[in-house]
Amino acid sequence: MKTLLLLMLTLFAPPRSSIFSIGELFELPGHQAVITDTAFSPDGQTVLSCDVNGNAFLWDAQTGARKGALAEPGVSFNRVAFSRDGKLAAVVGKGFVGLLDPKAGAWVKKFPPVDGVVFTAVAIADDASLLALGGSDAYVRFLDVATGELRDFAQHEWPLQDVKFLEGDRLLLSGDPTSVVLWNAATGAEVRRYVDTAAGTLPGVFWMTRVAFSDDGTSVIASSGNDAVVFNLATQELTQRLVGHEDEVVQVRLTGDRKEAITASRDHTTRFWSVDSGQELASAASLDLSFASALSVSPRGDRFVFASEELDIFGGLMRTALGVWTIKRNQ
Amino acid sequence: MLARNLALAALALAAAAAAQADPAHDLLGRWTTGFVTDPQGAYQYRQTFNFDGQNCTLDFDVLINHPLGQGGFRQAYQCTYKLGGPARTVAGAYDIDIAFTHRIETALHPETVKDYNNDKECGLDGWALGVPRDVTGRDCDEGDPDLIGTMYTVVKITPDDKIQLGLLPEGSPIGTDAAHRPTELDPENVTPRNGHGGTAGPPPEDLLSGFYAVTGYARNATGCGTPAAAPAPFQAVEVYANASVIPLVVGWSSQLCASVDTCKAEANTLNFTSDFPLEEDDGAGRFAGNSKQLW
Repeated sequence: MKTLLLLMLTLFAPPRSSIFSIGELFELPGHQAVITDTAFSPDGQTVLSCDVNGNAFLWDAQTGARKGALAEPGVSFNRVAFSRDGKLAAVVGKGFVGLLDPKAGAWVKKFPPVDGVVFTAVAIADDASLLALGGSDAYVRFLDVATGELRDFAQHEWPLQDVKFLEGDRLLLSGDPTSVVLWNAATGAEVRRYVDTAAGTLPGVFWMTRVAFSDDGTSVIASSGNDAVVFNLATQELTQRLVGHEDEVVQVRLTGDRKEAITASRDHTTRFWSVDSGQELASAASLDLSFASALSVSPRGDRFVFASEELDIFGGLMRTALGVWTIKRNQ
Repeated sequence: MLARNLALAALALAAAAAAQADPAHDLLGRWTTGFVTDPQGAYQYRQTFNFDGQNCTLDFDVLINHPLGQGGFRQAYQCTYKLGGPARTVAGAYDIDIAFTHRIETALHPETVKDYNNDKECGLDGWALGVPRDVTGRDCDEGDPDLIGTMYTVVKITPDDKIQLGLLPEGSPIGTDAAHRPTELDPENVTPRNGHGGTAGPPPEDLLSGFYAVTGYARNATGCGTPAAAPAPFQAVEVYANASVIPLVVGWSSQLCASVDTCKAEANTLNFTSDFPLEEDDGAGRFAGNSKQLW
C-alpha cells in the first residue's frame, strides 16, 4: 500500500521543471569587454553593469533598453552598487571610485584616483555620506563623500569580496575568502567574527572563492569548489550546502527573501535552488562560454542578470553576453 | 623632585637607546609587504615574515584574477633563526641564520587545485581548495632554489622600519654557509613592518611585462621559459604575467616533441599559429618576437 501511494505520488507530482523554470528574457547588448559586475536598483526597474574597459551602462530591467552610458577610459571597473533609496549608485575599479545618478545617467562625483588598489567591493551608507570600499589589498576603507577623505577602516587577511552597511549604518559587514566579520562602523571595533574557515565555522570549507551577502545582511552565500554554502549570520549556522554542479561555482546570489539561491558554474549551467531543502529547482544551460563573470538578482527574486564571456586562448574577448533572465514559478 | 624627574628621563633615554641597539628586539613581530598589485591589476602578491625570537615564518601569497587565468596559492615556510652580531660584509646589517624546517603549500583557487592535481604538484595528488599540505623535502619548484635548509644571510632594519635581507645570487655559494654571507642587500627584498601593498614597480627592461601570450618552441627548455638542459625541444603556448614574478602557463606546454620538425609540425596544427607564427627561443628560453601583449 505504501509503495502504491509513493508510486502515485511520484506519477502525479508535477515534474520539477513545470514548477520552476529559468530562461533568458532578452539580451543587453553593448559591452565590448569582460563584464565584471551588475546590480539591480532597489525598485527592480534599473540594471547597472560595468566592464574592464571602464564602461558602465544603465538598462531598463523591463524592456532591456539602454538608459545611460558612462565611460572612464583607461580605468577597469570592478564593482557596482546602488544606494538603499536607489538615488545613487557607485562604480569602483582599479584605483577608481565614482558616484552616479542613475536617473540622470551621469556622474555625480568622481573621486581622485587611488594608486595601487583595486577596489573589489563597495557599499553606500543609507545617508549617502559614506562609501565602504573593499580592496584587493585586504583593507576596508571609508570614503567621505563630501570631503573625499579616504581612510583605512579595517584590515582583513585577504582581498575583500563584499561589504554591506547594516542597522542604519551603525554596523558594517565584510567578507573575504576565509572570513565574514561584523564591525562597529563608528569605532572600527570588531563586533563579531561570523565565519572563520580556519576555525572550522563552515565544515569542509576552507576557502570561499566568492562571497555575497543577502540584501538584508542576515545571510551569506559562498562558493567553494563545485559547491555553494549558505550561512545564517543570525543563528551562526550553516543553512544549506548546494551540491550538484560538476565544475567550479563562480557566481552565487541569494534572492531577497533568502529562500532561494542562484549559482553559475564553469560546468556551463546556471542553477536555481531552494535554500531550505537544498534541492535544485531549475537549471539552464549557459552558452558554451569560458566563464560567468557577473550575476545579480532582482529584489523580488523574479529576474536575474547574468554576464558571461567566451575568450580565445590569448585572452582576447570573442563574445560577451549580458542578459536578463526570468525565474518562473508555474504554480 | 627635579632630580627624580631627571633620573626618570635618563632612564627612559637609556631604555630607548638600548631598544635602538637591540636588533633582536627590533626584529620581533610581523613584517609584510601587504598585497602588491601588478600595474594591470590582474594579480597580487604578498610576502610576510614573522619573527618571535626563536621561530619564524615566511609566507608568499599570490592571487591571480585575470579573465585569461585565475588562480592562487600560498607557500608557507616555517623556520628557526639565530641573529648574530653586526655583519662584517654589509654595513648596518646583522648576520642571521635562517633554518627552514617545513614548507606548507595551499591552493587558493579551484583552477590552481585543478592544476596541482593534474600536474601532481610536489608529487602529490588529492589537492583540495584551501587545505594546506606539508610538502617539506618534496620537489615542488623546478629551477627554483630549495629553501629547505639553512640560509646564512644578513638582515638590516632600515630607519623607516623595513627589513632587507642579503642578496643571494642564484647558483652562487653566497648564503650557503657562514663563511659566504651576502656582501650586499637585495634591493627587491624589502619588507615593511606593516606594509599597505601598492603597485608593483616596472619590471626590469629585459623581462616581459604585463600579460603576454607567446608561442613557439624551445630547443632547450623545460617550461616557463626557463633555460635548462632538456634533451628534446618542446612546443609552448605560454602566458607570462610579468615574467619576473609569475609565469602562467596555459594551453599547451611542456609537450616534449621527438624532434624540432615534429614539434613545429604539431604546433602548426594549432589554430592560432596563423596569428602567431612559431619562432625559436632566443637561447635563454624566451620568445620575444612573437609575443603579444594582452593588456
